[in-house]
Amino acid sequence: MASLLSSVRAGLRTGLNAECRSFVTAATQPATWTHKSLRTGVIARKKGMTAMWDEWGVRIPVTVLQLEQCQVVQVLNEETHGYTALQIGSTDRTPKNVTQPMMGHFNKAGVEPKRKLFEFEVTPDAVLPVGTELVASHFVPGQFVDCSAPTMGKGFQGAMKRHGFGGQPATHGTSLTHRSLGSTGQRKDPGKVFKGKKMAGRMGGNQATVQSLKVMKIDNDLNLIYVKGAVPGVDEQFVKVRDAIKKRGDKIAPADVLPLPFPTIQPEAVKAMPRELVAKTGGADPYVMKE
Amino acid sequence: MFSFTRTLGARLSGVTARFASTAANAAKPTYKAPASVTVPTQFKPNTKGQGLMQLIAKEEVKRMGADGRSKLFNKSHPDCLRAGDVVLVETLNSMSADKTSTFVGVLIAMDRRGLHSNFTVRNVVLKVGVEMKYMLYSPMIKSVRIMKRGEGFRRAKLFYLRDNPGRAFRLEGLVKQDKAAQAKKAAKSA
Repeated sequence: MASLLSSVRAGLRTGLNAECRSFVTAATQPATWTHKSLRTGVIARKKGMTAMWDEWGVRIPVTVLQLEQCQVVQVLNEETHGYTALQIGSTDRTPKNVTQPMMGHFNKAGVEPKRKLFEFEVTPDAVLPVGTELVASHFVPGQFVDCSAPTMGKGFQGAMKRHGFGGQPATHGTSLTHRSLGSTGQRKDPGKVFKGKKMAGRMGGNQATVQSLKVMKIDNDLNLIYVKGAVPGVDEQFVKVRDAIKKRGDKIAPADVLPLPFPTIQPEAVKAMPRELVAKTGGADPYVMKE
Repeated sequence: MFSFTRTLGARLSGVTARFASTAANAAKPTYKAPASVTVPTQFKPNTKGQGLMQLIAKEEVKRMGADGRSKLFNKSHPDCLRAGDVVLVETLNSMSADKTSTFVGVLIAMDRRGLHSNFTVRNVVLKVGVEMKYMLYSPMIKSVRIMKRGEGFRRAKLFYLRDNPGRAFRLEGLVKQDKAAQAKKAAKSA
């Protein structure tokens, strides 16, 4: 195991800036997917939104997510850490801006210092060696993913916007109180306002997960994933993208693209692919009336 | 005037085949697109001097506007649409059949938004005002034909025609003329 790791690190230092793909060494064999397997997610950056037309002529809004130097930085295992996970890092940064403790952490892994680190819990058969680069083709067009990111900050907001309260009437004698909370409790019993009472306050900036977004398009040259719909957060935000948890087994993707690349896509397979792959919506033509 | 003349067969298949390299690379894995995946027209990405989203938008415009529909919104092109023109828009009813629908009317608004460029056409049909908004790069638009150039319109957006139409929507004569001309053309070519 130690020799395997050291060979991986040696390969990395020489070839780190050579290509943007290919770090899975020959020593790692692609493991077999089972229905209990859980493969890693990636960290992507939300670049913006645009639209595309599918094969039926339906216009679909898509969010563009870009993978920037997304690599495995640490492998957490059952013996040392109590659970199996991969720590993924995204987006290189200049070493002069990185603290010494963090530099030590990255040097141990043999990767460039990263801007963002997240853990993704995986099953032991989906573990990748340290330094493996994750690319857009880790996902296939047509599969479903979950995207998690901090939501856009909305600042200090009143209860009507923050919690959907109804407010008070606009007319009929209501004085100076149109958007307030109203009552905050009972009387002598309990004689207090309960903790967690919904009130005005800072809104947004919390993590939100949007589930079961369809991957409409994969771009291998620019490392882009186009997902259908909106993703929380602002542009340039770091987004955690994972296989959808509510679509297990055969439901995660159309049958002809299954099985998903496990534990991740092989670099040779990526090189063989064309630059862009678009998912078909499938099903019946929505503009044809059913008999 | 442009016409989107891809056959039904070409429209339905959508897959442009990618073949393996020469026998020398026989050991390399080749990629064959499965049925649920299409391979669109490929471009080489050039990220110099523009951001990622601008690049993507430009490529998509090139891809969706391969039949030359961008000239309709290009002011320096003689075939450019202008507010006030009487246009005939032919749209496919669905992508799986060749049947089309036609709408004639006055172009009252053009919105230039890159890939999301759209235009609004207004007509009075059976005493009811009808406005149709079309996305320029939608694959459902088969053709856009200018039947008559607008004269005397001094605004970019002619929303005032909703309240003061004047004689702007008296288009039956034009439609008749156009039908006759089209029939003549068909007879000639046949």
